[in-house]
Amino acid sequence: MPAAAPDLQAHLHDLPLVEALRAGDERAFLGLVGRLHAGMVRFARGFVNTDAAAEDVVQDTWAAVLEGIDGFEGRSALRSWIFGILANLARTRATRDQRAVPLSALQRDECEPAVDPSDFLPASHPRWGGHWAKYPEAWPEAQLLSQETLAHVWAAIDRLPQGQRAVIQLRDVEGWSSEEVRKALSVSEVNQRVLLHRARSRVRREIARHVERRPKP
Amino acid sequence: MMAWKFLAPGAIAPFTGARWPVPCGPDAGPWLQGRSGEGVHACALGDLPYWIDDELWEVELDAPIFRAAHQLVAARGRLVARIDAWPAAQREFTGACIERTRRRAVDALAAAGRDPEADQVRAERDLDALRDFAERIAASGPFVVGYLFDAIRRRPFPGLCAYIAANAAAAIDGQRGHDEERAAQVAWLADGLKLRQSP
Amino acid sequence: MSRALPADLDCVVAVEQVTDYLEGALPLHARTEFEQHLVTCPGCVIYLRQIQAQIAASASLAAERPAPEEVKRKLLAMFRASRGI
Repeated sequence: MPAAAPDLQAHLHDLPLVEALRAGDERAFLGLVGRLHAGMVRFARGFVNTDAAAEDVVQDTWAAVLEGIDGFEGRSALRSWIFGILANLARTRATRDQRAVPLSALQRDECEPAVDPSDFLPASHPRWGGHWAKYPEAWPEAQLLSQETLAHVWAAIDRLPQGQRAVIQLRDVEGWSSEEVRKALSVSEVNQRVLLHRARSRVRREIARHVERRPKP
Repeated sequence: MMAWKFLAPGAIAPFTGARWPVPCGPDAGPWLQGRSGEGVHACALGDLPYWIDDELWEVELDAPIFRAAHQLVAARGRLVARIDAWPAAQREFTGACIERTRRRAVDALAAAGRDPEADQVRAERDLDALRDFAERIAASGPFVVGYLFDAIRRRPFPGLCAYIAANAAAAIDGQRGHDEERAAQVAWLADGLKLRQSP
Repeated sequence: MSRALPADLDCVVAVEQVTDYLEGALPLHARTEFEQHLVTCPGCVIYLRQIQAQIAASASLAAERPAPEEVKRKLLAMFRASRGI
């Protein structure tokens, strides 16, 4: 599982940084930008239509952060707070730009199972209904980290519906704790888990399609 | 309290991936604390068939200890000694599960008046041939015949093979059959590996 | 599964529990049932390892790309203005 600093540690870790920002420490600010900016753009891009719109939204977020830093109470981690602002601005911008929701997104079945039901034996099987018809193939580890496969993973994340994409990016790519993600996205623990579950299931299917397509020896 | 624990190769907890510190020399290894709120899990003798894995260790558990489904849960535990006879004995163990399942299949076929098939199942020495035969007659036969096919097919997976044998017994005699088969598995492990139940 | 026993977990259910399991969100009884299923199901063990491998692969996507110089300049100017520098 991705290791994330327990939230209390994260907050204590943030205090000196927040003080430095309030005091006008430019190096501290640029350091923060360096750590977060690329991830923020990627995150915003999951909501808005264009790269330029994502850059705009991130810019606006930094403005809001600077405006609000004096009043930041540290009830969440700093990056949670920043991404929370970012999510709100990105959603607003998406609505404003009247982002056309792809028809396929509207048709997505909210109760879609993690695995294609045809991968399992039917209930009518005398002994093993509901069990794997064939065991899945183990993925070769080296292949999983190849550039080609990683590109597929990224493309699969890109194609996720907004909420699933946001959660999986922050949890699995950026390594945030579930608590931080909950606070940034204003979702309940349960909803966060459901979104994560669906996101991971879809990405897994994409990877399986890619990895298992290779000719077998 | 003394107990046992199955681990993945390298004394690694199969589910958490945690590495259990192994003993150096004759003394027990260092204590391992359970992760917050979760405790460490181990087996009493009767729990063993439910948790089969590659390495079997004798462990010592520290209070408080309580029972959960098919396991003991303790605040902390330490590895005492590895049972060297395992996993070398896995093949014999699964062989025994298969033989008990075979006997049940023979009895069930005979009870169904299918004596020639009962005889063939009884007599077939080659496990692969028995597996194939069982598969062929499974659809038209008692459930236990299908489980015999499964048990042989899955013998590379001892935990699964034991589970199949228990379900085969249940197919004949419900919960009682299941419990009898699991008890037979426990007895096999206790005798075969010379495990002594601590007081 | 076996008709003679109360239903054990099957794989259809187990794959839906993997996320909760990895999150530590299953209560003890459910977690034990899930782990029991793993002991008896090589298929679901492979599935769980796939998800774990996928998570690890996802983590390697988090390359920290530095912000473009022009963006840093703009943000620095914004910072100075906001701090009255």
